[in-house]
Amino acid sequence: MPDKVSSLITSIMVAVSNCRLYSKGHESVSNMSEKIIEAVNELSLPDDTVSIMILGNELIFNNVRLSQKSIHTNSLMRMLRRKGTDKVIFKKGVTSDELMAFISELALPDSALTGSPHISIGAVAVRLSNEDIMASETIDEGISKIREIYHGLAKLKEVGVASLEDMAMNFISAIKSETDILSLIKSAKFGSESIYAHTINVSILSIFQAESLGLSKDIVHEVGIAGLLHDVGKMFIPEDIFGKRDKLNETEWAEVKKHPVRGALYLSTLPDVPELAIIAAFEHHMKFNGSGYPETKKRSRQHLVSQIVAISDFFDALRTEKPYRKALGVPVILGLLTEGSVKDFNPLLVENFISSFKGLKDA
Amino acid sequence: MHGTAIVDDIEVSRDIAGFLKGDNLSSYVSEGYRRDLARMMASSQAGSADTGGLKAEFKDEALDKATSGVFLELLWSDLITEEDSSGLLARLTELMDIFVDTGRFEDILYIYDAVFSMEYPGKFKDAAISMMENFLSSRQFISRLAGAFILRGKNNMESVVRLANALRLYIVKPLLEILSEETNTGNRKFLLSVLGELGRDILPHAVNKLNDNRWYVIRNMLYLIRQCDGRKYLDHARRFIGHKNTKISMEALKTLLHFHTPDAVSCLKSYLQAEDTAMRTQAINIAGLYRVKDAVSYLLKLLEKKDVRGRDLPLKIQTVKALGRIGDPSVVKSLEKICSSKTLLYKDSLEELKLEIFRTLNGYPRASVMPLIDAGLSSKNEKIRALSMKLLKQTA
Repeated sequence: MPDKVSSLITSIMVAVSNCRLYSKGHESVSNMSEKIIEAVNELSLPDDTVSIMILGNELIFNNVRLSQKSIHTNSLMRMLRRKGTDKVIFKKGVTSDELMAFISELALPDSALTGSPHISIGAVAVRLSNEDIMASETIDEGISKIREIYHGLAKLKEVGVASLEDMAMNFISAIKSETDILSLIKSAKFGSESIYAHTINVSILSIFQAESLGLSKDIVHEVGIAGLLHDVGKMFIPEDIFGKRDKLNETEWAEVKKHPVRGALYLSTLPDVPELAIIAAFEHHMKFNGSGYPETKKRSRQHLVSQIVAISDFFDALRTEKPYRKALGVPVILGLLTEGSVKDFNPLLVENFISSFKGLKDA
Repeated sequence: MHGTAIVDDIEVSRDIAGFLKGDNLSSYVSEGYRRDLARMMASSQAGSADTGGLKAEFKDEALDKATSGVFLELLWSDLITEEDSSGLLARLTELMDIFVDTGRFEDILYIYDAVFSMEYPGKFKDAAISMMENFLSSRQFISRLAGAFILRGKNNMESVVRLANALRLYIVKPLLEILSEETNTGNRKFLLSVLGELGRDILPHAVNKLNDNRWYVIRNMLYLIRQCDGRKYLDHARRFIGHKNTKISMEALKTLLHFHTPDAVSCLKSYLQAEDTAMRTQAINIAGLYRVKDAVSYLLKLLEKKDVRGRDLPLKIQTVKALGRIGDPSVVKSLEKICSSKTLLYKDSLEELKLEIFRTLNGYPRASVMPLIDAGLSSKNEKIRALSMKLLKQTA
């Protein structure tokens, strides 16, 4: 990526980070604004504008596709997408005040981008959260998509984060429109395909928890993606172990226990993937009291996202029928969650999960 | 297996595994517990969890730190290949760039300590250290770090010094270069204070820069030699005694006085007797700063010099200040003489000098100046009376 373009995008993202860390008026934010103004003046097209557009998974800068994307480029794309914006145009003459206002809006999770005399914002046409789609259609479509994504992993080394973002957005809408969370969760008989339904279910249950905790839209979204990708490491488990219907022996179990490391390692190679997904993939089998797996050298405490996913994972695993065990009823699972609270699960999250259920019926 | 049952990939204790054999809740859960569960599920309230602290875990700094922790754990895993190791280090250095840009110096230190620590070997430790060293010594990283120190480090000096110390092998020389090029006085001062904390490692580089033709670079390097215990480099400092630029020569003088060299006082005395007033004034200040007792007689001569027109007032005021810092009781008699003298001409100048004397009395042994304080209580000068009263109260 040409240095000046990279520098402009980095300046925007560093300004956003500093705005979040310190304040909109901090010296570091105004310094970055000055750098952005310089870059706009240098990079302007003949019509005195600089344009940043998002098309699918691509960033188009001044009508040229950026072939290489940095961590900052991916973060900017994610941020703009979440605000329903796929086009930003800076005009020569943009002021420091305008830029600081823009940066502040970008930094705040729940604020929209409003534009100003020298900054135009292109809003996205309806492409997400179509509430006319039935929740069950959303979930079925999700299962197909996640199957595609997981199957494509080893071959293409690409995870289409845009499609994962859309899926998470659809799940969020589905949860909002449904009063009974259980009606969204897909039951699937045990088999190698059940993992796809499971990842969808964990995503939905995790979004459900994140929403009930009052977390911001952006975070709920990323928690949803973390749910979708938490078991991606299982794609590296040998087929004979992965599809085994009986209980696992010690060697097989040791192999299964490698999946958090393999999953996190894989996701770390993809700059588009949100940090929460990498963290959850690594930690979702660690326990609240620091035990569990994988064994760690330094870390002992799960991040909150992993604690959320762990609860969802536990819940959905016990609701799935296995060849050697029937699916458990919701009251039983909630009881087991309570039993495991403090040792295995964050007690606050368990309490929140249980009290957020409404009008449950045993499956 | 190890006392646990396995449900897919979830480890469950033996007690709980017992529950899984039946689906009849009533066979293992009491009536009361079942009622409690039903009540919980019937509740339409949202979770009552305290979300304030929970939300903090999703802020950028918490997430970045958690992610860097995961990358480090992966780096130490037996499952990784050499390619994985390089990839993880690339991600870690990306994060370090972000930490630099946002002034998160402790987070950079965390990664640095973890990678270099012998506590966690890792399969490709040598390669990892080599890659990290290349990154830390890159001009790009160092100049961004220096910029971050200046922009965000002034309120965070402890973290800056801790990080600078950890990275000193990589940053000393480049930071000295950046210091030399820095045009803003405030920024130079700050960088100087950071470098001054880095100890003797910087000295060979500082001495090398004494050949620079910019006066402030030489002066700054002399400061660093002093600050970082550069005793064995004193000959390099000494050659600047007598330099035509007073700022440089004074800095050299300060360095000799700091290390109490045998020739330090004689150098000071020659400056105290210099014809140039600015040079003499600076020498007077330095005598006070370093509390040079051997300079007292020279200072007294300056103070007692006749000055009918009051032209020497600024010099005498500096002299009084310097004497106050030295605090030698043998000068008190001279101070008493000045305070009791009268003049018809230039009364204001004399009053100003008297006032300055009273301002410095705190520097002397209290017993030696009590007569002066007593006299001051009945002075016609209100400010002198107030100062005397304050000094008296302190004695009480």
